[in-house]
Order: sequence, then structure tokens, then C-alpha cells
Amino acid sequence: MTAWVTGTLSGVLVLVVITNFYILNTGRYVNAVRAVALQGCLLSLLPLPQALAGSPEAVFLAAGTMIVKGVLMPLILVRVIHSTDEFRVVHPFLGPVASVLLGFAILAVAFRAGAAIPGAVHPHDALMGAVGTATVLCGMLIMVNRRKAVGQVIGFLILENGVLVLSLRISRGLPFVIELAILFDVLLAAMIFGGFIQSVHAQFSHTDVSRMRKLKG
Amino acid sequence: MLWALAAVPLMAALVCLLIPRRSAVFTWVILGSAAETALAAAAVSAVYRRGGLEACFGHLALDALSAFHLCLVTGIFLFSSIYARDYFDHEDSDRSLDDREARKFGALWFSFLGSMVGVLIFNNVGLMWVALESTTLASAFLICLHADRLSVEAAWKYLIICSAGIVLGLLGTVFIYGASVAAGASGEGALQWTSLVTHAGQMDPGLVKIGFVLIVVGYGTKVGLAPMHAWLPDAHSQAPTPVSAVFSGVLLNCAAYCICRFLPIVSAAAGGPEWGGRILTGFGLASMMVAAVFVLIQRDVKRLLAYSSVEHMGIITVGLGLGPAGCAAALYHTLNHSVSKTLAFFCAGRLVQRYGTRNMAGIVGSAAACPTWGTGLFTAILILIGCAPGAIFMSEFLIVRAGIAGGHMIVSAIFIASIAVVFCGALRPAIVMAAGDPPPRMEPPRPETVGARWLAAAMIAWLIFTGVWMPPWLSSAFDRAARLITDP
Repeated sequence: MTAWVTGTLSGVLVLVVITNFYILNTGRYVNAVRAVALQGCLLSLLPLPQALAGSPEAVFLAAGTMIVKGVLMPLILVRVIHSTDEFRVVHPFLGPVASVLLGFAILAVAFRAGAAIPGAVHPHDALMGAVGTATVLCGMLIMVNRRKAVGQVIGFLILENGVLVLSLRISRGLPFVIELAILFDVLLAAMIFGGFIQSVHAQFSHTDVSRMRKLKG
Repeated sequence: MLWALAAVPLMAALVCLLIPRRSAVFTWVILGSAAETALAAAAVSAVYRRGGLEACFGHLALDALSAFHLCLVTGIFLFSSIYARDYFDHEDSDRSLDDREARKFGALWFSFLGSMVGVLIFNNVGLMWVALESTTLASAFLICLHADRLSVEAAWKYLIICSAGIVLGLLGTVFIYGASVAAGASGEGALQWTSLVTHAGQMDPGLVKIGFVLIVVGYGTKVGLAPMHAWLPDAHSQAPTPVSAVFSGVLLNCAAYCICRFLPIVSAAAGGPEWGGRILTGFGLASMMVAAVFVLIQRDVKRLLAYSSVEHMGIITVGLGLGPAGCAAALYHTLNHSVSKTLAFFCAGRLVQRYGTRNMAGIVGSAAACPTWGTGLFTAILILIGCAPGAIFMSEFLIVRAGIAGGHMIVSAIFIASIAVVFCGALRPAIVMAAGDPPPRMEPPRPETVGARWLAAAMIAWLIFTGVWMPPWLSSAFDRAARLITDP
């Protein structure tokens, strides 16, 4: 593998981490969605080595990821945010400073864990494992740290992105058919999440999930 | 034949959208489920005669384990479809379905069936994941068919918790795939279950172990294992009763089936079944203990049944962790739990309609007020908590025997203690609901259809019959399926 490919991939991975931190920190859901869109586009660059090796499937998959994660899903989320009229991250359980600090802790843990994944071949493999693990954990943090339904969906999408990075690290991606099926499934999930948030809004006239606690015990 | 199994529900779902009238939709739902059950029966009998079915270049496959679950899924779906028509006919007019909602129900119902059949017939564990995620997406709207606050809350929790959990299952699958590629499998074959099992011996145990833990946590969320069970009581209590019955009766089993598929891989890679078994028994016992605590404090009859599902899924998971004898007993328990829990939900749903409350303190004298469903619920709860000679008593006994024979004394002791707590906790409300005089101001019952009575009677008869005597073909079916889990 040529040096510039390794360099580009490492750069892309660092940018993925930066988008994670931006989403942890931002107070506006629309900005968070833009960052998720950027992250989706970045992810579509990761199968670059396979695409350069002349695999048409990798190119097709990269295009599909770019369209689904970079364009369609963010569009759905932005529409949902506008229709429910909830733009701001209100009273997260951990404030922006605390979440960013926790994000650093996650990153430190992820570097230890990512290096421990066996089977590293390329020089950027350790970084990829670390970034994947950090993205998965950040996604979980965002899911539990947002009160609004749309914030949880953003967390879910980041979690899924992390799994995608890890799948590239561990096994150079899943087989083509499976990747396509997963992509389609995630798109369907985003659409259903979107529809659901609207019916939550219709019932409660807010989408604050932490205030939905009628059912317990 | 496998093609047809996948195609029938999809076609049926599309046709549902075209039917104008509600009564016709319900007839179509019953007909479609019956056709799918007949197809499944034909496929399963072919599996038992020839040892396996394959189609589409090995992408679709049916073996003894998936055939067993396929029978269960289609059978319970058929029962619930028959029940659904009665159930929605007896709903109050403001909660009943109009023509449009009935079409929506039919289409979602069949897509739910189709995705569950997909989980069972895909040979590829990646596609199995896709199908399991689709079951979540198809069924979330079934929970809030009547959109009110509580059901939307339950459905949202279900959607978000199960989706997040299942993504962890995907991550686990990725780890197993990585191990399989490193062990020499390549391309799409590397995710096919049959090839995973052949390569399992050479896989990196570290990767497989991480993957298996993620799979148990991820798919376990959908099974309802504690501590990931938070969605289960809410979804089961808020969904319309035919949907609760299907959730409890087969959806949880489908997720447990996915874990079963990975058990032989981790056993071969880790050099023995002990490691995977310990994880499963740990999660299983945790679920049983959590359920035992929560059963004691329930006031809502459907929540009581939901926590009982957590308990029984725990029992099945413990059984899976106890070696070949335990696996066969766990499959037997899967069958028993599905039939009895479906029956319990059927009865509870109609009683709730009759009394207008889900609070067990308000449901008194049900055996006198509506004999079919009152006695049905009482019997079903007795069987569920493990009264002899019910079938569940037998399967629990077999699991304990497998535990003691394998030297797992502490596991067996905790197992018996949890069952005892649930027994006492659920017996009291069951007696209160069945015995006594019905409240004086109740309008006279609408007559039950003959079909409903026969459905309840047949299910109880089956549960007691298989508890007393297990036909040889049934026990050989369990043994063949268990061999695929422990030693394929």
C-alpha cells in the first residue's frame, strides 16, 4: 500500500474523531446532523484502498454510503427537526464540557482497546481500530446523554458508523451483498425513526424522551 | 420451497393493502397465515426426511434447528391470526380498527411474519442480522396501532433499545467474520453458517470470544435477557393482545435462535463448550432473578405475563448453556413456553376487554364471568409457573437434571430458587383473578365463537399431553436440533 493512501486514510480517521467531538459539544441539533452527514461522507472514503485496487463493488459501495449516510439520512433528520420545532440540545444530563472530557477518556480507552484487536497488517490499522471503538462508545454516550428523541437517533447513527469503521478494520469490510443489505436496512431504520418521532410529537407535543416515564416497574 | 416461504408473506402484505373492507382483511390474514403454515409444514417434513433443504446457491437453508423454529413461528402466527379477528371484533368502538387501520395491521402483520421467517431461512449470518433488524422495524408500528401516549412511549423504547442492541449484534458478527476470514474462508462463504462451523476450529479464539459476548448482549437485548430487558414489559403490555402473543411466543425465540447459531462456533474456537456456556448461564440466571423480583410487585396482568417471559427466556438461556441434554430441554421449553404464553395472552386479552381494566385487582371471578377465558388464563398461569403435569414442569425438570448431571450445583440451586419465587408470586394473583364472584354490574357476556373455545381447549390439551408423555418423533426432533447447537 502506498504511503499517500495510508496518509489519506489516517487523515480521514482523524477527521471522523473530530466530528465525534463536535457532535458531543454542539448545542444545536441541525449542526449535529450536518456533522453526521460529514462523517458519513468521510466513511465512504475508507474503502479507498479496495477501490484503487480496481474493485467496482468497492466504488459502488462508497457511492451508496455517500448517498445514504451523507445525503438521505441527514435530509430525513433535518426535516424531522424542522417539523417538531426542536432545534436546541436542552439540558443534557452531562454538559458540553463534561461530555468532551468524557470523550477524551473514551478516546484513551479506545486507543488501548483498538491496539489490542489482533490481526493488524497495515500501518493505519491500529488507528482504525481505535477510531472505530471510540466512535461506537461516543454513539452510546450521545444516545444516553440526549433528552430529545432526535438526539438519540443521532447517537444511534454514530454507533452504526463506528461499527462500519470497525468492520473495515477487522475484516476489510463485510461481503458486498451484506453491506448493501445493511445500508438499506439502516436507511429504512432512519425513515421509521423519523416517522416515529413525528408520532411522538403528535401525542406528547414534545419529543423529550426523558419525560416519557409513565411505564415502569 | 424456501423461495415460496419468503415470498408468500410479502405477497400477502401487498395484497392486504388492496383489500377495501376490514372483515375481508382479517379473513385474508387467516388465509395467508394458513398458507404459510402449510408451506412450512411441507418444508419441515422434507427436512426431517432428507436432513436439510437448500436453495439459491446455499443462501437459503433449512436444517433441523431452523425447521423446529419455523414450525413454531408459523403455527403461533396462525393461532394469533385466528384470535386477532375475534379480538378486534370485541374491542370497544373507539379502540377498534377501521378499514384503513385494518389494512395497515394486515400489511405490518405479514411483513413481521416475513422478516421472522427470513431470520430462520437465511443461511448467511449477515442476512440473518438484517432480517432480525427488520423484525424490529416491522413490529414497532404494531405496538402503537392505536396511537395513544402509553403505546407510543412503549414503541419508542422498543425501537431505540432493540436497534441499539442489535447494532452490537452486528459488531459481534463482524468479529466472527474477521476470525473466519483469517481462518481461510473467503468472500460471502465466510459468513455462511455452514462454512463458519467448518472453519470454527481454526479461528482466533480472542476474536471469536469478543464477538460472542457482543452477540449475546446484542441479540440478548431482543431476547429480553436482563439487564437489557427494559423494553419488554412495556411493549408487551401496551401492544394489542394478538401482537403481544406473537412477541412473547415467537419473536423472543427468533432472537434466541440467532444466539444458538453462534454457540457451536464459539465452542469449537474456544476449545470446549464451557466458556460459552458460562456466559449463557450467567445471563440466564440474571434474567430469572430479575423476573422473580418483578413478578412479585406486578398489578397489571399483561406486565405479569411479560415478566414471566423474561423468566422463561432466562430458563431457555440457562438450558442452552448446560450442554447437549440442556440444549434439548431448552428447545422443549421453547415450544412449551410459546404455546402456554400465547394461550395466556389470548385469555388475558379477552378478560381485559371484558372487565375494562388490566389491573389484576379489578379482574375477580373471571372463571364464573367468562368461563372459557377465565379458566383458560388460570390453567395457563398454572402451567407457566411449572405445576405438574404441565409440559413446562417437565422441561424445567429436564434442565435442572442436565445441570445437576453436569455438576453445576450452584446454577441449579439458583434456578430452582427463582422458579419457586415466581411460583409463589404468580399463583396468588392467578387465584384471585379466577376465584370469587364477578362484580355485580357487568353486562352479560357476548357468546364466544366455537373456534375460540376449541383453540383454548386444544392448546391446554397439548400442553398437558406433552407434559405427561412425549411422542418419540417429538423427542427425536429436539435431539436432532440440539445436536446442531452442540456438535454440528
